[in-house]
Amino acid sequence: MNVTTEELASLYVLDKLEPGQKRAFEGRLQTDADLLQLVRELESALEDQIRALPQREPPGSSYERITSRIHAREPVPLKQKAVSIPWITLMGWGMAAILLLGLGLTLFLTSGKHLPASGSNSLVLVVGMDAQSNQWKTIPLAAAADASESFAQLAALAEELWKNPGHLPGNTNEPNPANTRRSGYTVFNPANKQGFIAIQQLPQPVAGKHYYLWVKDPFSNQLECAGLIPLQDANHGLYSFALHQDSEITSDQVVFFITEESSADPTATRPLGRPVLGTDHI
Amino acid sequence: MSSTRHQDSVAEEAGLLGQIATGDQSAFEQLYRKYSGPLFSLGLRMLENEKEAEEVLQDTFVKLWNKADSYDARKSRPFTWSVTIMRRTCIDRLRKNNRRPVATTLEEARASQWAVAETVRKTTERNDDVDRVNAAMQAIPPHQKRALELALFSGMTHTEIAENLKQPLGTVKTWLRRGLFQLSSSLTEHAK
Repeated sequence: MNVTTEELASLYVLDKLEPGQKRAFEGRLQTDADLLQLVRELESALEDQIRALPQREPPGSSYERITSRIHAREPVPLKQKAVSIPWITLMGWGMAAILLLGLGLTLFLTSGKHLPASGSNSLVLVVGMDAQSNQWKTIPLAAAADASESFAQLAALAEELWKNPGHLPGNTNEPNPANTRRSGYTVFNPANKQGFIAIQQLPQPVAGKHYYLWVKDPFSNQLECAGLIPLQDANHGLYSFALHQDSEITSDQVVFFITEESSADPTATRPLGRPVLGTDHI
Repeated sequence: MSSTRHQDSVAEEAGLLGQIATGDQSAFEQLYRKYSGPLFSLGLRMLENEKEAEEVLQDTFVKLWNKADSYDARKSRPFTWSVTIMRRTCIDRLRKNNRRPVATTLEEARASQWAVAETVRKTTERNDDVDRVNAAMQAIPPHQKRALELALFSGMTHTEIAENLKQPLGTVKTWLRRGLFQLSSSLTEHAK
């Protein structure tokens, strides 16, 4: 076995391979018995290291808490994929959502000041995107009474940023009245894994191609497809998306990017096509 | 902790995961009894905070319950798979708290309050195995050992490890490979 393969095996066992490398390596494991045996030996050595740590048992109540959470868990919803919301429709109920929020959010966006800190507030991630980068900003939102209110809050924020792009972070910070530059932004609530993506000046994909929205945790390299962007004869739009509640992306610091893919496979697990907006790194 | 004992338990634990995938709570409890101590100890090592380690342990077991049907025995051993989930959840917690990954040495960790608090019963049972693993680890050149410790317990990416050790990424990858292979070789020799 050559050094390169041994190095890949080491990094695989240490969970340090990039997602693409990991999938390729796992493919080799299916057919290479020697490689599988090597990985098993390395895993065994690492397991010994974990078990040789100073051992402590968790508090006795831990198991009951876990089972309570499992039993309280609602049925897993079907994975939602970039549901297109016609802009006009969104404007209608979005305005209602703003009214529901009261003046707090509007004042925040016009003054640039944070809402009063509260333990029950949730932090929403706002990510400005251009052709080469992601720029982060977090915004605290007041605690929502339920999932519907949380969704309405998020929609209202997305809509407000659409109207006031000067509040967007980073390179998208400057108002762009002419709307000639390819740009976009996402608002994403890591707590419930829901978000909105707004895009401007994104040309229609070439025939047979589709735009995919990807979410990536740049620290753990977890990557997930959030769905297809249905441009529907427009070069701009605002779309909602939601990751599966069991998504392995649990970080509240994620990046977003859009690629042009040649297939419309809703179960795609990695981008193959060219990036058209945002990047997969910080 | 011997390799033989590991091999005996691997099939059993994979079977438990299969049962958990069908919603078998008894199997889940059995797996909890087997894994909660080592995983909690790993959480303490990575987070250095008992409350957070307990919360992350709970998150990890909820994930194990939800993802048991995605476990693939051809890709990893059950405990390694569970450790990966625990480590990733710890890393998420560190990032969420804007905390720098912990970079203490194993010696520092073993001298910490967690080591002192280890129960007498467990210590007695484990002494031989722990000595064997410690001896194997001590036999690794210091720079390789340090790279391995950071890869296993700090939550750093290998790029961050390279920065921490002020070494090129390729060198760190080599150190990880050599250190891990020597550790595996030493443990196998001891087991014979």
